[in-house]
This record gives sequence, C-alpha cells and structure tokens, in this order.
Amino acid sequence: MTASEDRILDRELKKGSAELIILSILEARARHGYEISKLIEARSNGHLKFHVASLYPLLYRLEERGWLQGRWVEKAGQRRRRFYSLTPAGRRVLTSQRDTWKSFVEAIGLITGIDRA
Amino acid sequence: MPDWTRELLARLAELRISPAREAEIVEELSQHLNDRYEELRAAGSSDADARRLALDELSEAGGLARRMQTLSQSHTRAHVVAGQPAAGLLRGVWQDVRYALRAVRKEPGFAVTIVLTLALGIAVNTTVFTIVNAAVLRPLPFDDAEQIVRLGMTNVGNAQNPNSDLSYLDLQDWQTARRTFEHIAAVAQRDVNVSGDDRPAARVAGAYVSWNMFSLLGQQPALGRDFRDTDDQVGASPVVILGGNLWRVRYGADPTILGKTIRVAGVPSTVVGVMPREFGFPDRQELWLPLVALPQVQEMSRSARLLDTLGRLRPGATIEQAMAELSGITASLAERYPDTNRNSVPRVWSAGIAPQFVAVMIALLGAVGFVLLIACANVANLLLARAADRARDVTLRLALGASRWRIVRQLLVESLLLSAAGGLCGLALSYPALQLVRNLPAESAPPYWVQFTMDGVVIAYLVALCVGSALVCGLVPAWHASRTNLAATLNDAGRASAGSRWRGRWTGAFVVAQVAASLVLLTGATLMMQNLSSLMRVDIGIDTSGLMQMAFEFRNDETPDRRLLFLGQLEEQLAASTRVKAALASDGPMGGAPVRRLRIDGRPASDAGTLPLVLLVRIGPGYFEAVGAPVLAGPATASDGVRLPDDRVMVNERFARMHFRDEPVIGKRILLIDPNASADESGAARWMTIDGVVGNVLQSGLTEGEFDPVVYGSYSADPPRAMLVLARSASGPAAAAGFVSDQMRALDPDLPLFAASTVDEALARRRWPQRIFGSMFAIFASIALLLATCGLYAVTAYAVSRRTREIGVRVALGADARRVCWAVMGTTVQQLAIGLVVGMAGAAAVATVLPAILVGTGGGSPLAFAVVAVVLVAAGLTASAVPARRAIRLDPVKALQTE
Repeated sequence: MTASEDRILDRELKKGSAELIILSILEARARHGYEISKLIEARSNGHLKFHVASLYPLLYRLEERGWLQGRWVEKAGQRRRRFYSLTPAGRRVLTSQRDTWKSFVEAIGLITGIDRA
Repeated sequence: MPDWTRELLARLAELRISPAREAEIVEELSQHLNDRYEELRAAGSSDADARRLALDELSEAGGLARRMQTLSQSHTRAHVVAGQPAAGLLRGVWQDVRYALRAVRKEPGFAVTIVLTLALGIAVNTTVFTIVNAAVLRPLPFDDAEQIVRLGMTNVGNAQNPNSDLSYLDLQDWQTARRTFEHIAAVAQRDVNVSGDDRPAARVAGAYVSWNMFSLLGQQPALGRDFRDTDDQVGASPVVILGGNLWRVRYGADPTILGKTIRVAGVPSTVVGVMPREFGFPDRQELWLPLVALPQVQEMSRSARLLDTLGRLRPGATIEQAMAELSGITASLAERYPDTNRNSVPRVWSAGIAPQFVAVMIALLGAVGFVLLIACANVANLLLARAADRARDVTLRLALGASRWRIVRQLLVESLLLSAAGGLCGLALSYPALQLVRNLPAESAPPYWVQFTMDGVVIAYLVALCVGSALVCGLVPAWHASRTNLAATLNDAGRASAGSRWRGRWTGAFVVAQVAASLVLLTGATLMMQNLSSLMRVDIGIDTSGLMQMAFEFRNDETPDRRLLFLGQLEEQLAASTRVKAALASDGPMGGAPVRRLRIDGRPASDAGTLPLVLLVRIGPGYFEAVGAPVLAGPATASDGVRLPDDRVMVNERFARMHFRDEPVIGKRILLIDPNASADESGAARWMTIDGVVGNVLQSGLTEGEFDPVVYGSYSADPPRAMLVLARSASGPAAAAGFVSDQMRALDPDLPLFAASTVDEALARRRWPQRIFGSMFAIFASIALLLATCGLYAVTAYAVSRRTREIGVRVALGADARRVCWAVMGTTVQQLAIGLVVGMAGAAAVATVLPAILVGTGGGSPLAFAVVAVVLVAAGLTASAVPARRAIRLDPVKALQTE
C-alpha cells in the first residue's frame, strides 16, 4: 500500500474503531500513552498508528466518559507517568463493542466474500 | 532532551483548560514526545530531524487543539489565581474576598489585632453618633414637625436680659394671628399633687396647656377625648387628661377612669382622656390640665412672661411671614400697653434642641473622630509593616500578569473585610455603652421623645465609618505594595531599596499623625476634666455634709394666711427636737433664687432696667444655723430662732462688698423690685433695712461658680407656695429626713414631701452634664492614649527590629554599640518631635476654641500639655530603645542571619 492509502485506511478505520482499539489494548493491564501507541502499531503490524495529536484526545475523551481511569504513577528513580486502566464501565463497553464488531465483520464477510477467500 | 513546553502550550492556548490540568497535559505529552524523540534518535535521525518529526506528529490530524475542542476539560471556568485578569468585575471581587479570607486565616493574630483596634474606634463613634442622632438630628415625633415653631418675645430696650417667654394676656392676643398660624398654644410645666382617689397622695410631673396644644402637636388621646376650647375658659369645670404610664401604674389601666373625679393640685378634676403611653410632652409629663387652671394665671400681669409657647405654621407659611404677622400684633400691643409691651418684638424659631447642647455634641463627635483616626493610623502602620512581608507574594502575582490596580483592589478588599469585622465588633461594643446612657437617672434624662436607638441613619453612619476606615487604613499600604520593585524583591535584595524608604516615610507620617492626634485629644480631655474637677471642688461656703433638703408645695386654694399658719405650726414642731436643726426657706444652697433689681436709698435713681441684680431668699427662723452660715455682723436675730421682721433683711458678704465696699452696711435701706412685675406692683415694693451680714453661701442664681449677692428676708411678708425644709441631724441625713416627714404627716397627711436629698446629691445631679461629658472625654482620651501608645510601640519596635541586621553588621564591623543604638532611635525621636510640634499647635487651637463653645471650661494649663507629651514621648522612646538594645546585645552572626 502506498503511504497515502495507508493514511486513508488509518483515518477511516480509526474513526469507527478507535475506541475499541484503545479499550482492548488496556484490557490486560494499565499502560501509559506511549506504550499504548507502540502496542497498537506493533499489533497491527504497523498498519495503525496513533500519534500524539490523535491518541491523547481520545484517551481524555474515554476518561471523561468514565471508561478509563488515568493515574499518575511514580516509580523509583523515574519521573512520574500517567497510566490508564479500564474501569468496570469500560470493560462492559469493551465486551459490548467486541460483540458488535464481531457481528459487523461477519456481516461484511458474508456480503463481500472476504471469509471465503 | 528538548523542551516541548512552549510548543505544547502554544497548541493548547486557544483552549480554556484550567492551568493545573494544562500543566498535567503538558507533562504527559512531553514525556511521550521525549520517548518518540529518543526512538527517532535511536533509529538514526539527527537531533533536528527527530525534533521536527516529533513536532510534526503533534500537528497531525488537524492539530491537538481541534481534537480536544469537544472535551469538557477544554472549557472549564478560570481557576482562581489572584492577580490574573478575571472575567467580570463581580467575579473578580469575589476572588479578592476569598483570597483575603485565606490571608486572614494564615495570620489570625494579626487580623484580630486590627479588628479589635478598629472595633474600639468604631464603637465610640457609633455610641456618640447614636446619642447625637437621637438628640439633635432626628425630627420631633410630631406630624410635620418642621411646621412647629417656638415663640417668644425680645425686649430691644433691655440689654441684659432681652429674651423672654409670653405672658398669659399676650398669648391671647397672639392667638389672633390666624393668617400664618394654624395653632398657637402655651405650656407651663408644674409638678402637682394627685390625691382623692383612694390612693396615697403622690407628686406627679404635670403641665398646664392651652386647649389646642395636642391638636398643634398632632397627637390625640388614646382613650377619651382631647381638651375643648370650652374647657379652657374661666369658670369651666376642671378637667384633666392622664398620661398612659400614670394610668397604668396608678389606676391599673382601668378604662372606667374616664368621667371619674380626682384631686389635682387640690382641685377636684374630671378625667376626660388618657394619652398614649409613650407621650410625655414637653419633657416627661404624666398629666395635663387646661391652661386656665394654672394657679393665679388670671391675676398674672402682662409682664409675667412665664409661658413656653409653640405655634404650628399653616402649610406653605414661612417663619418670615409669621414674624411679619406677629410684628403687627406686637406693635399694636406696644401702643395699647406701653408700660409692659414697649420695645417688645416677636421671636420665632424652629423648635428643637438647645444650641449649647448641640455644641457639646459636636465637640464629642470631634473627640471620637480623633480616636478613630488614631486607630486607623495604628492599623495603617500594621498593614504597611505587613506589606513589606508580603512583597514576594505581590511580586509574583505582578510577574504572572496582574495589574497594579488589581493588587491595590485586592488589598483594599482585605482592608474592607477587616474593617467590616471591626464594625460588627464595634456595634456589639456600643450596645452596653448605650445601655448606660439609657439608664440615666430621671432628673438627668432627656425629654421623652429622645430615644437612644440605632436606626437606619446610625447604621448608614456605621457603614460609612467602616468604608472610610478601610480606605484610610488600606489605601497607602495597598498603593505601596503595588509599587514593589519586581527584580529587587525577587532577588531578595530589597532591604534598603527605594520601596522600603518610601514605606519608612509613610510609617513616619502615620506615627506623627498618631502622636499629634493623641496630644490634641488628650488636651481636650484634660481641659474638660480640669473644668469638671474645679466645678466639683466649688466652694459652697458652708459644710454641706449631712444637710438634707426636702420640698413641699401648698395647694392652689391655700390663702397666704393659711400658709403662714401652717408654716408657723411646722416650725414649732421642728423646733421641738434638740437633735435636729431644721429651718424653712424658699430656696436652698445651690438652688438658685428669684432675681430682684436693687435700689439703694441715697444713691442716684436710675432706669429700672439698668439696676443691679441680686438674689432674694426668703427664710424662716434658724435658717443660718441650720445651714451653718456664720453671722458676721449685726444682731444674730435670725440665728437664734427669732423671726426676722418683715422690713428687715440680712445680706451676704458678697453683697456687702459689691455695693458698700468699706461703708458700714447695717442700717442701710434697700428696695427690691421684681423685674417681671408691672409698674403698679413695683410701686408697692417696700423699703427694707439691712440688719446684718452673713457668710457667703453659694446660691448659683446668676453666675456659675461664684458667690452671688444675696438678700435674706423673712417669708412671712409673702409666703411662697413652694417651700424647702433644710435639716441637719447628728444621727445623719436619714434621721433628719425621717423626723421632718413625721412632723409634716402629723400636720397634714395630704401634703407630700418631695425631692428629698442631701445638698451634695442635689449638687451632683445639677452637675450631671459636666460629669457625663467629662467622663466621656476622659474615657475617649484614655482609649486614644492606649491606642496611640500601643501603636507607637508596635510600629517603632517593628521598624527597629527590621534594622537588626544592619545593627548587627555595624557592631560586627566595630562600631560603638551605644552610638548605633542612638542612631537607630534617632528616627523615632525625629518622628516624636514632629508629632509633638504638630500636636501642640492643634492642642493650642483646642484650648482656645473649647472654652468658647463649652461654657465653663477653663484655659489650658501647661501642666496638662506637659504630662501628655511626656507619656507619649516615653512610650515612643521605650518602643525604640528596647528592640535596639536587644539588637546590640545579639550575637552579630545571629543578627546577620536575621531575615
């Protein structure tokens, strides 16, 4: 894919799935912002990139909704960092969004034959 | 590592994120950018490239700000940062209030000191203003009180005593002035006996009034009816209107009292009405009778000008128009009755409080104003001192973008809060003070309509005081604080900066003001106290200890012969006791006496109006012995129980010295003329021979504090209606009083004795205005001295302790400690000196002005100034000496370390 195609895919897919992505990343444990962006890039094999300008506003929005909780954590010898974790409400949303996404993907697959390929 | 803060702040600037949250976001994103930068560097990018790439990611996707627009944290209210421009004045002031409260909580002791200082000043001001408001400013409690005027006469031909009231006959002529007057009415206050109602006889404050007096005042009885014009005519059935209080106390608020008959001044009178409880016109009267019932009013000559007269102007009529109408009437009277009404012109003036009383009130207001000024100077100095300590705080706020006006405003709000608190405390303090004033004894109490209550006017005054104090105290320190030199203060090098010199000048100015104001106030107080003590020490001429005096008054219908009979019997009874020396007299020591014009046989006759005045006291046998006045010359007739013949008199030493100098007095003939009598009556006066001279006894009729010329004659020629019994007993005044009242009761149980007191007590009661005002001045002066001394001490001690470092340095460098001490105290001495000079000038002014407005205050004695000055100087010097010496004794190292 070309760089511009990448960017388009990024934008379009991100629009619909960004929240699900973040919630999934944080399902296992709390992470800070840089870690989250690196993990997204790694797990998507470089296809999805969340940079500063898009990641943090999203984190803050989810935090305002009450799906995430941010906390400053200070480790010995290090500067403090802000770690994000799922709240119980966030976990419920994650489960629900996963099911929704699964149904959606199955439906797309049925229509477009992606699964059959 | 690059600093991403500026870049991040720039991108967040357009959002309205609270500063704390903004700082968090900046910190968080900075870390992310750092990690990204390191990643890029590790991947081989140059420093510049890594930066650029990292920043590019910051600008992606429309930018950070655009993506955060929809978040609620991007639209928070402005956080409270004192000094930052706030949206809206009201919000800004509220911020200031919260900030001020925080500052107060941080230094509660400081705030309490300021509040108490102001409370003291405000309390005395509120108290005095409440009194002034009640007595002077409030209008009379009558409808359209400004239409009510007082009426009198002026005899332009009589230079000594031109002003007088109206006579009964003149009143009737003046009442024809219907064009400008709705009503003209007169009142004569009399204490009367009330009896004949199955209750013990009592003495009651009453008044004889024209039938239309209550209509004039706009006050109607609460029960029954007002007087009618038919009640006020010769031959009318006697009627009486009771006061509400008397009705409740004596008659148990019995509504059937209307129509009943009681004896008032011996006359059976029908009760026709009851006035409302709080009504007591003109002073504290408890019952009213028609003027026609005033004893002997019908026989009074046109020149017996004894009636207090009021008028109610018609709506729209002016005093000038009233004067014009009355002038026409008086001119016509002057023609018809030249003997009594020649040269008489009308006087019309607004009803209200007496001018000399107003003068005293103004003096008091001035005094308490000074007290508050001193308090404010104290507080201003405290705030100035604290401004120095808060310089860093203010500087930071200025650095963060606060305007100077904002700083000034915040400090003024702080002052206002403190002075508001001081005002509330002052209000609380003034309540017990007013309670004292309300509980004055009955004789000293003001008229019934003067109520010492705090109304809206007083509260408004209080608020003005608080605001004024806040401005006076806070403006200079606030302005000074806002002028702090930023760099110098932040670098902590500001000790000897221009700012502190400026502050030092203002502190000095306040110290000077305090010293000067204290000196002025204390001088005024000392003058009043001197006057008071000289009055109390007045030489009465006799030993008054244990001397009782009691009064009684004959009924209206007692003829002179019946009175003489009674008096003779009473004297017999009183003489029966060997332990009690008692005598009768028309007037007692210090009680004043009727005035007479003196003509001496053999001296050239002059116009009656220019004859010298003397006092006439009518006495019974044994008077001089009873009061203890020594008979200096002549036969001791009156002192050995024998009555003075009708045509013989005794005179006092002053009289003898005034009129006969070195001539022999005994045997000289004199004529005493009643200045109020008509020509016919004057013609009937008899020549009398002086029988002897007695020692001076202060009568206090003509001049204050000096012996008047007094003539003592027998009362038998013309026994007065009211008499005094003077008695002294070896067993004490109570025994004397008991003995006398027993004898009175035995002779006539229906004749009550009243006004029983020792002569000393009576004197004290007469002096109550000076006592009250003298005490008030003394209290204010003491408060002022306390405030000034404490303030002087605090400010000086603080200023000197600020120089501890300097002193330490000097001493460490080898300077003579004593020299340094003196150098430091020099500033204080300078300020004290200037303050004393200014204060002396003010005090001298007070010493000149005060005697002019307060009758009886003497000139200032240099001793008073000196004492006050010494006290202030001592306070100031101690204040500077103590910390200076402490600083010298301090270990130089410690002194240098002093902040």
